[in-house]
Amino acid sequence: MINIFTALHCEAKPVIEYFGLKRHQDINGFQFFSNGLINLLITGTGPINAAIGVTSLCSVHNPDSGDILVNIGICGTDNPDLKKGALILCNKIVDLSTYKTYYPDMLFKHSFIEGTVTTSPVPVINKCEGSKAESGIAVTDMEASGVFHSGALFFQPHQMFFFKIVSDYKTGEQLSQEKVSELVAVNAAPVFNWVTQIHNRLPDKQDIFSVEEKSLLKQTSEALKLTVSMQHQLNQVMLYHKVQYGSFTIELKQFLVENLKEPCKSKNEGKKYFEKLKKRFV
Amino acid sequence: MKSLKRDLYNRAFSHIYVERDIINHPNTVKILSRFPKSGIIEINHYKDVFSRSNQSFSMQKKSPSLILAKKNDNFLYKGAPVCQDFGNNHFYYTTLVMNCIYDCEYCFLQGMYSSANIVVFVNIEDYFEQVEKILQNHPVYLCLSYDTDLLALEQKLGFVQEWTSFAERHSGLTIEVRTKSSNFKAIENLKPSENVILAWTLSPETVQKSFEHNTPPLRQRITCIKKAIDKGFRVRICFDPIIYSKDWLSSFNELVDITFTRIPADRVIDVGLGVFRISRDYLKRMRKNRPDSAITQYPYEYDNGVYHYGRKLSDSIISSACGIISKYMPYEKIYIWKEAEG
Repeated sequence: MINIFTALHCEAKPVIEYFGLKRHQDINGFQFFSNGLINLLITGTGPINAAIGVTSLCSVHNPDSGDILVNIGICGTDNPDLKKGALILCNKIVDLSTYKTYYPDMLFKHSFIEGTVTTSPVPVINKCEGSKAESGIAVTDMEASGVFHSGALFFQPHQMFFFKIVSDYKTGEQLSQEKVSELVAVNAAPVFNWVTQIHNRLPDKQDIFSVEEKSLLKQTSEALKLTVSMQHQLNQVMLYHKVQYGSFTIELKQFLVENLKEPCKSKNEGKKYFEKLKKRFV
Repeated sequence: MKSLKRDLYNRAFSHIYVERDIINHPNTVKILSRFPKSGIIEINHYKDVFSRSNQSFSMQKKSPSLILAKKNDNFLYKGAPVCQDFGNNHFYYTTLVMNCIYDCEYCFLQGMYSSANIVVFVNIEDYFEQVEKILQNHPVYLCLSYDTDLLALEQKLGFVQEWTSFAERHSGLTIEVRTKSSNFKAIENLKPSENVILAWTLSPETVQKSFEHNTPPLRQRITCIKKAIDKGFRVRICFDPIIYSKDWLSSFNELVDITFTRIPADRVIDVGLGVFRISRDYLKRMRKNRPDSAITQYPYEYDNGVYHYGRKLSDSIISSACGIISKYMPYEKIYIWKEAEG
């Protein structure tokens, strides 16, 4: 699942259209769109709204190790070299209220410009009092730190991506909703082609044992009258065997047929067979 | 698989995080000059990146970042009971670098650290000052490369060169640099010295191929050892950790034969020997990081906070290994790791 967070509807609109998302009602208090593979939630502006939005979605749709978080939206900058519409992938997020810094992992190859985003709880016009100068490419937004702070409860740092699109030069210029949508629309394809490529390669969390294996392990531990501690040992022995040789079901069934035509009568008898089993499978 | 990795992941050290306070330190400047294509990200403290919660060690291993930092205290540590002291009374180790460029499935670092990124402490002069203070009281035996492979990073950091020069000026100091590197170029310009020991870890070819990812093959390591001996370096060989499998004995026999056929045993100062063992907390994390590894998932026995193969099996492995090595080395030159009593 790719979980996308934007602050405004006009930022979300091009993404909704890009993926063909439909409105759903399952997240109270937020506009939520999905197509079953892609979720998009509009958080509202500011880091607190952003954090609440991320928590709300992720508490209902609990993410997995194969899932991704994307925060995309407009930003301001002092840097005249960055043209309107320039796309920045953030490698550092600074919260202007707390000066706490957040670092998404930068593991994946890309062709975007990287930079630092400073998140302010209020719109920044010109230089903000107390802000520290960030070296290199620097932009300002109102959500990234909130998204990261909350996202880190559900995602690992390599699963989170923060894209900012330059919309203004912090002069107080008012942008129309159509203009904002236009800026995001231009960047939607490069961002989401890249994100989808990564999403397709991230491994999903898998159960250690299949249903059949679990059932066979249960049958074995009952037949051997194993204690809880010995059941853990049995699981570890079989997991080792599976990792080493690919499977254990055929061999374990064979062991049960050869040694335990009837279940053990006592724990002592079970212990004896359990030692035999360990020798065979380790 | 290799091409998939090339497609998707950044190269190692594509990003370098640098603490603001040491951005102009000579070692920072030198190291950064060796990574001209890397992106630099300024940070306040290395732990802001290295110690973040919920990181994926295994994912970061695919594209580790470098973190340049300043160490402020704890420059030297007294050797822990789980470390071999090779008969030295004043045994210390130090952490110049945290984490390693290699990716060994049995490595304790993946259980010790929450991140696979590599931290380099650039203020080497503070370490030297601390060593000099201790040397005023007694000699020091110092392991430089416990939490990393310093020689594997030598062409980027140059720390082994700085330490060997320092050791040359301080006769009471003996340093050990443990490595799996086969890059002789990294040491060919170093001056061999009585108080510098280069210690190579060797494993059977099957273990190297299956479990020691990104490391040089056994034969390359042996070639490098031979060159180091020929150049006059004091060399130690470590068969540690021995990894158990059903055919471990034949693989180990072959390893020892290959090693001492190529390397004159009488020019090796000693041999270290140990069976795989790991603390409970580390193994727990390692199993989470590497759920599909036969090493992490082995059903170890547990006592006193440590997982191991079981006393009977461990003793039998050590005894057999010792017998095999003794064909080439006298017993008094074989140092066996033993659990601390009590």
